[in-house]
Amino acid sequence: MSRNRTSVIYALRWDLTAVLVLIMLAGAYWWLKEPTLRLAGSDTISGSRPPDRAEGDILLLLPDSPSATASNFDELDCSYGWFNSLWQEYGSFATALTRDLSPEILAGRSVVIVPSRVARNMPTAGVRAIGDFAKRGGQVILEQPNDAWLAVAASTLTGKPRRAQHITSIEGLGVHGDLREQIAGIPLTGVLMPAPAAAPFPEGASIMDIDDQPGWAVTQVGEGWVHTLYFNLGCSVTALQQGLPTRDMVFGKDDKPEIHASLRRSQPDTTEFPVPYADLLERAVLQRLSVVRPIPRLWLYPGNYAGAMVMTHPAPDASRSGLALADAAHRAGASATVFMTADLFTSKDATFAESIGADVGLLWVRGKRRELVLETVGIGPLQPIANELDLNTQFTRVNIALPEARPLRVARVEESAWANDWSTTFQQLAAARLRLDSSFGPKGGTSWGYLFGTGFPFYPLDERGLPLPLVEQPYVMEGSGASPQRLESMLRGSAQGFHQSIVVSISSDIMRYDPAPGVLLTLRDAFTLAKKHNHWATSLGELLDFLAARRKSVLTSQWSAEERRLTITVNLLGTQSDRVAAEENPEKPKDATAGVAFPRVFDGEEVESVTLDQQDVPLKEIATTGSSTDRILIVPPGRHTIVVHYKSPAPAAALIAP
Amino acid sequence: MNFRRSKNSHLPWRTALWFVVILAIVLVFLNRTPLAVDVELPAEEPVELTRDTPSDVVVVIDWQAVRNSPATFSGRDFSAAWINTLEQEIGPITIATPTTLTARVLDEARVIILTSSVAQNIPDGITKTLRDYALAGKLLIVAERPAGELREKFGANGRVGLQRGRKFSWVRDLGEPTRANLLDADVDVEFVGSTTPKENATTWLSVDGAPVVYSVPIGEGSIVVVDFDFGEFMVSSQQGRPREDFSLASTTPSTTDLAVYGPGNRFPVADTVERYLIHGVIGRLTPLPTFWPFPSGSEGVIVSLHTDRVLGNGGAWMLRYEASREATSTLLTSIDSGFDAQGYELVNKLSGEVGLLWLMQNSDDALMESFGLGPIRPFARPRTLESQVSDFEKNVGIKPIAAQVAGNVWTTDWVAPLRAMSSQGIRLDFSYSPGGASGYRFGTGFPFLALDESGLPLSIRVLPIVVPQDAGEGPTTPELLTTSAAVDHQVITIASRPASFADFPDIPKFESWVELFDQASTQKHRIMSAGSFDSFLRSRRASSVHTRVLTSSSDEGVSGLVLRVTVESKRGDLELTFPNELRGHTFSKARQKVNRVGDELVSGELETSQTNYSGLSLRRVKLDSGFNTLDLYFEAP
Repeated sequence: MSRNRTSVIYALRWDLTAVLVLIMLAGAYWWLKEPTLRLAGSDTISGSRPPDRAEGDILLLLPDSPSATASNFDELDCSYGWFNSLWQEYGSFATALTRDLSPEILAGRSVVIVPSRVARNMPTAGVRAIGDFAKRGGQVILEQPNDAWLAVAASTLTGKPRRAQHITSIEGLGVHGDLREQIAGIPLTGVLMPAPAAAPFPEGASIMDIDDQPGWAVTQVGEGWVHTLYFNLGCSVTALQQGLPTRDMVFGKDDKPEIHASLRRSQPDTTEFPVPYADLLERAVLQRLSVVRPIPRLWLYPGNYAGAMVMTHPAPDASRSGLALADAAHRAGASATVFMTADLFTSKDATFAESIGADVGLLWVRGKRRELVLETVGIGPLQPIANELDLNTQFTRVNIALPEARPLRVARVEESAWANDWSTTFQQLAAARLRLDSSFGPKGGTSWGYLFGTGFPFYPLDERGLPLPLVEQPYVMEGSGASPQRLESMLRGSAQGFHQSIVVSISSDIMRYDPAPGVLLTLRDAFTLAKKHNHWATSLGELLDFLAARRKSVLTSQWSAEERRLTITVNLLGTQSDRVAAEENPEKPKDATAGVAFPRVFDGEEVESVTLDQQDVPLKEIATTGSSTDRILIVPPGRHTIVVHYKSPAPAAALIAP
Repeated sequence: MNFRRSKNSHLPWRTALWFVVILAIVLVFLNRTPLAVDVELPAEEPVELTRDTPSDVVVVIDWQAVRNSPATFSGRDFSAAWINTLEQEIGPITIATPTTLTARVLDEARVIILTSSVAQNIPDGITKTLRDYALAGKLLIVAERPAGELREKFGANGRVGLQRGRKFSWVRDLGEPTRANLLDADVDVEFVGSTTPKENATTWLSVDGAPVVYSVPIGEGSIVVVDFDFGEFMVSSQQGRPREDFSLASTTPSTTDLAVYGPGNRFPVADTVERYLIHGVIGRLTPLPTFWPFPSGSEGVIVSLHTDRVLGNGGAWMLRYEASREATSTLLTSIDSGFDAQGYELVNKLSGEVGLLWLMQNSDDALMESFGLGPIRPFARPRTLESQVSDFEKNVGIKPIAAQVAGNVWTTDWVAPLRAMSSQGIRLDFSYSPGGASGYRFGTGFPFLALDESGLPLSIRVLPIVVPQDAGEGPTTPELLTTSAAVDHQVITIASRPASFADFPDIPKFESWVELFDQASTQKHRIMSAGSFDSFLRSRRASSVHTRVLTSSSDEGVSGLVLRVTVESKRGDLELTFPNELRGHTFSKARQKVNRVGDELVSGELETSQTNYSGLSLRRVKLDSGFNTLDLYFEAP
């Protein structure tokens, strides 16, 4: 003991203890200096059936109950793919469950659409009611009907289904020029039901051949016509819009790393996607309906705009730079959408955004190009824990800074980082009360165009085939992929026939991480080009409001074949648009209200006269669409009656045929 | 007692323990904030330039006299400044020393420049020979501040001695507005004062009322006396005026401390003086065709310069736009920017060039590297220029030949950064910046040959920036272009940072940059990289021009003088300039002598254009690549 007491270690025990404490303090400092990160999960919600609408010339029959959760794309119920198509092309249409089908609900309709799953499960009485509807002069679109439809469909279905590959002939569709090649290039998804050979219309029944067999045939039933689709249009459109499971993407829930949304596209690998194939496919089918009888519709944009152009700016690093870009848009007489992050956006920024009419969206930070949005936990300088804010909290942080009149509705996912499955990210965004996402599009300068077959928003479907309560608005060019030449080519294509919403995404810090002259040239020229090509320069928020008002508007029509008179009744709702107001009347905001479109030609004859509420409208004041298929009448909000007379054909006129 | 002894016996251990602890703490602290250590700049020995190829103009420099001149800024003999003046205004010249001056050289020449290094101590034999040539009208002699026999015979008496003047007070036959601008300019000129002017002399230029450039007829020819320190004037104008010991007054000098002209200076004083001397005085006394200093008939050149240490390969984005407008530029990038061989490949594809943005030691931008033993690195030293050049070569795959000191900083030594760059093989420097206001603060927009403290040239040229990044004051770029196209004919170096759009894409700023391309086109200025312009100037210097005066024959239909000029043009975009008037005769036409039509040799008339070149009327004619023989006809009044 006494030797121990005289040893060096014993004598220096307090010194050694002090050194040890110093070492421990230093160690604790090094350990606590970097906080421990705790990642957040985000809530999800499932899709749901939108409320039925009773009014409309076109009736879409929907399944009585949702399908079981699909484990692969072939099992997916794409009935609501038709919902998307009709919402995009017509705006006003009726929906009903199969069990509600009755002669009463069919009365006054021009067209009934029976999606594949509905057709397969249709009871005999329903088949009979639809057959009677056709015999009385209605048009029916039957998607992949089964044997129960023998009396109505174009042919019986014999043989084994196979996977649809390519459109091999569109002789029966009677289209020419570039459109002919473009339609032939539409990629198809899903199975192709067997069909007996048929000559092209009008000699035979085939409108469109797929893989050298009829893919779409038309037959006359009584006074009406039945269009039988042997391929699955709903799934083809859904796959184009929402993407397709590939090797890089799984259908069910999975813990695989996120992927860039552009990898979801179902179209083949290329750099240019100048054609909106999904829209072409649905238009090819739906516009054919106006051959039998002119079917009016709510135009896709306010007034007679040929399309829309939206400039969007994610601001991952500084709100100020995003707002400066929005201010530049404001000074150009337009508005832009800026996506702000929850940790940088302040109420001061919100006040400035409001003063320049900027549309503020949420940039959901995923820690891809910048650090996550974190909240540290600790005392004073020691903050050993860092919690990631979940999407809902990020939403609330931005939303709380915004004025009540302009709540947060639109979002962009940072770097389009998407869960590598069918619908999780959509479900998370919808659960966070967001109503529009614009994250689908090309990655930087690697590609540009309609990667998802459309420039128009669509409702994503969940694994049960039900639409989620938000829309996906794809963008067509991003960052260094943007150039005035590309933008003008897309605007020109849109004005000449595609009639698209062209969304451009330019991050406020693009000139730091991927600088390119095309970016600045695009920012400089975009609004001038939009005006040049008669496109509505708007924001995502305005577009969303407009589409909601368009869907709430009602359009019905009556056709008198003898008098060649189309009587259209509309009840139009509008929404305020700063951009429209600035152009028309800077002093007073004006409603952005959808125009009313009706076929330019029926039975080979042009429109003779148009009256709006019994007042003649000079034909020269009625615009024609770029594809020359429709005339567009500008109508103010409210109830109106429009009467369109078509010229009578010469005595030896051709037979009416679809 | 035991207790105390026991305690004391552990004192060394305790001391050692706490020493180790304190040492560890100190090392950790130094590892985090190492002690800075200074490093020296590399240096290059200047060179004695000679060029033996005979040409119309010979400049004679006595390099030994230059070396032996007093080692102060005002005492140093800067005769070498004549080389830059003559190369800029003429193109090809012969550079001789008193020992290499041969009869062959004199026979081929039309003008001989006796710089102050020679004119103050010229051997009698040479004086006599030159006098004979001058009497026969074969040679025009230009003598700078002559002494001895030369002064006695041809100069004013010089009895007042050396004076300093602040204004050019009179100039002969110089057009407006150049004349007014020159007389208005504040200068600092050392001249030789005399009590009376030289008899029969024609005064061309005066400083504070004293003739400083005058010509004296001699036989069939003339001798021009330049009685002010032309070398010092040009060097201080262009390269800057240090204190007498070649140091800068400021302890934290910037490149603006080098400038002798004020911020926003719109008028290139140095160029105007040298142009007047060459074309306004010499060119009026003897026919002196020269090469136009810009390619492809342009009225001037914009050198587009980009500097970056943020974007790496992305820094080339401006070059992409420039390429789409058929322009090229130079990108200077630092070794920490991330620029690499891939970026160079892109720049090369766009016909651009890359150079080094030098993060100079002792500046805020200096890159520090720590050093020590293993993981213990308590000291830090700045990355030297040598290591930055080496890293640049490693990253990019080429050795930089163009550079700029980052941040507009300079050393207290007048020429040390230039000497350092020159030693590392850098041939073009862009460090001379006018600060926050655009303008010709260095008296010129042209690249000039840098001189050492010894008065000898370094192997580096400096291209001063005229429009700096974010120029808040001074003449606007359109104003500079307009005056350049009309009168000044300048190289306008415009600096811009590709990263200046990084914080947010500033469209108005971008638009003003894009408009530059239209303005340049309207004002006939080519936008090119520094390297391609330097390459043009090198080819221009390597070309040759020889002139003979003939009398025209009657069958030519013109009575008067004919100037036969034989030119070897190294490029197809060169032009020849010559005076609009010659000895009272006016230019009437130009013919090329060897246009072959079938089997016959015929002469074809050439199209010429008239140019106001800093207040002087010159004619320009386009040259073909290769040999050209031109006959220039001047009619009697």
